[in-house]
Amino acid sequence: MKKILVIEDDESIRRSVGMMLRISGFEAFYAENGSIGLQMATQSMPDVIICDIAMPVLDGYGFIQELRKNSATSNIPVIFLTAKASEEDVAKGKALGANAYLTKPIWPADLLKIVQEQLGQQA
Amino acid sequence: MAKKASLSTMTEQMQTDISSQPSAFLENSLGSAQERIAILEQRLAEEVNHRIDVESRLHRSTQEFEYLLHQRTELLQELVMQLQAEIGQRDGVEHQLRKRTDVMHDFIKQLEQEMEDRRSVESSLRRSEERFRNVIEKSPVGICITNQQSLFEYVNPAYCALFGYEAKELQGKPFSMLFGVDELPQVESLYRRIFNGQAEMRGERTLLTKAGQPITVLTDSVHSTNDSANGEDDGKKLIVFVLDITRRKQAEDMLRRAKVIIDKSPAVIYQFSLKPNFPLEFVSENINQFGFTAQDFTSGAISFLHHVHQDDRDKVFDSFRHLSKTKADHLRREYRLITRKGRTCWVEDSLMAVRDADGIVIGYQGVLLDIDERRRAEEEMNKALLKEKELIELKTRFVTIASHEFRTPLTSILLSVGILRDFSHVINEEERLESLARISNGVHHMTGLLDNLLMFGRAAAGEIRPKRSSMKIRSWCANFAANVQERYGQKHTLLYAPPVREQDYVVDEGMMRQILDHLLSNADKFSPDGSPVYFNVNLDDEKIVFHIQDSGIGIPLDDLPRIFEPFHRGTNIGNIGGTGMGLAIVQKMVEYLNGSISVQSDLGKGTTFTVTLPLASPFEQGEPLMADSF
Repeated sequence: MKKILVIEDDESIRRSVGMMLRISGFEAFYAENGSIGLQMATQSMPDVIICDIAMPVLDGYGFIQELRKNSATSNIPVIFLTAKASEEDVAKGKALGANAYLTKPIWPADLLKIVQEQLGQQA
Repeated sequence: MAKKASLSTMTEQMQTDISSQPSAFLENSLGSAQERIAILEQRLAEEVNHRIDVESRLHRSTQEFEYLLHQRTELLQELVMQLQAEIGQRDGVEHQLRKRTDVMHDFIKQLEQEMEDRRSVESSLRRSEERFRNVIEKSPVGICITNQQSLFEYVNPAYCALFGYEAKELQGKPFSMLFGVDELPQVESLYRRIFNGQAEMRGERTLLTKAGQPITVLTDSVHSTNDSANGEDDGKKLIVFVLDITRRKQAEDMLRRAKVIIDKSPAVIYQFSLKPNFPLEFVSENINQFGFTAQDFTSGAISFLHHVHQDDRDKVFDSFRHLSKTKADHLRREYRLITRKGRTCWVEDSLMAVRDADGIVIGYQGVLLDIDERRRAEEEMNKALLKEKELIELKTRFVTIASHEFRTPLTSILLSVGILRDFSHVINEEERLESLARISNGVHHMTGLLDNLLMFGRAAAGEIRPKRSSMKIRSWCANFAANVQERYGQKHTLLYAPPVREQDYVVDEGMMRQILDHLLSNADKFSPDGSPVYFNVNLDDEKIVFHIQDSGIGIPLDDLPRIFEPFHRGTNIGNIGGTGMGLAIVQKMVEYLNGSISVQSDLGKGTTFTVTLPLASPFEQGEPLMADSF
């Protein structure tokens, strides 16, 4: 079973995304900020990470930079799922090494498609 | 003589007879000799007698002569004396005569000198007359001679040129032909009065040229009694002098107008030379707008530069230096001027260099403009612009943040809707209900957010008017505290310290309740279960002070300055929900009640908010009391 890490400070979204992943046959992990997310990523080595950007303690940008620094985690696909929708935000996210950049709100089916895409590429 | 001659002849005869006939002769001669001697003796006697006679006569005569001589001598002496006396007299006369002669000489000399002078005077008179004629003929001043009938008798060329006539066109014509039709009725009587010495010609007047062009002239006149060449007095004349001052008049008019314009304009014109301290040589009267008179500066009583603000003097000197060192002619600068009353006033000075033929600066002139108002307006505008800019930035940030804040619940809703729609076949009942609940929560959250946004927007735009309501503080607070405790339930104990006395208070009760609700709700949200929350109410004569103290997570130092900004949420709040609008709204409402709010926080230990509201009613008298809240 593929492991997906969901890093999101909003509990409601976290739970919705988690539910969607679970019913789609994935194992979901949760973290409420980048710092905890980094810890969990190192520990659990997820197949894909869905990550918010605006979060307390360590935001999505900080998280991906740290993640890419570590050779063990540097290749894990990261999907940014964020309310930051401007072109600059998207460009910045991609420049930092995000594999996909999705803006909120999003249909769960669309999110699932992207997750599967990332998993397919990985395979 | 005759006797002498006969004697010598007789002697010679006897000598010849002796030599030639000695004896005869002797005898003869003796006889003849005797005879002759006798004759001689006779003759001698006669002679002697005669001589005696003569001598006696001589003697007599001598005596007579001597007598006569004596007489004559005496007479002569007398005469001499007389003569001497006469001579003496004559000397006096001569002296007098000489003196008179001298006087006469002097007189003659004088006469000659006078004649010479007179000749010279006559000649210079002739020359003078010539010159005079020349002067009159060539004079730039129009000169005419008119007679009693006001007819021109003489006009000089300048006069003709001035009015565009030939001399012959004017001679014999009336003086009034130079006047406009409107003036004609008065001209004759005026002329008569002038002619009779009852009025003066002197002054400015407008006359007409041959072409009908009005010209402004300066006129004056003198009377003259003219003796004609044949000795007949042909009567009194008026000599009129006319000077064309049209151009001068126009220039004067322009100058006067310029002066009025300058003096009425806000721009002060000045000029100064390069003497020490740069004394002003000219400054327009409107310098009085700064409380000075022009003379204050031109007399040297006040130095202009001393009235330039101390901090700006270098700038002013620099501009002088700049103009004198470069070829620039013009420089505009703004500096502060200290008016006579000591007020600081911003001025704009357009400085120009005055240069000689070699380009050397010999002075400066400038135009000074009071720009104090403009400058202050600019400052105000800059402030306003800055505020506007800040507002725009705030708005942009507000919109960005608001969009983010809306996207979050929308995301939650869309995900849940998506699950219900696309995954309905795989979810169980619990998951379905959970999804529906999240949708509902998301909508509520968004509604709350919208309400807060609208509230904040209205508050920021000044559209909230506090509603007046009356209450008793002590009892109201007790009631409020009880309600809060009910909401807290078991989670927190509200430790309420009431005010020491009861006080009537007119306030917007709803607004005050919202403020306290927000703060007590935050205390609940950000502090661990079981921790107490303190709610102290203090009253003095002027104000009510509320302290809300929790033992919660506290606010990081970096966040403290920003906690009242819309959407700003502490970086340490983790999962604790909220819109980030609460404190922003609280602050706005406190402002509307003329109060203040402050915060003190220790990270990890707790936070205390202090709200101070004035007891003095911010409400206008007579405004109806309302018990409404929003």
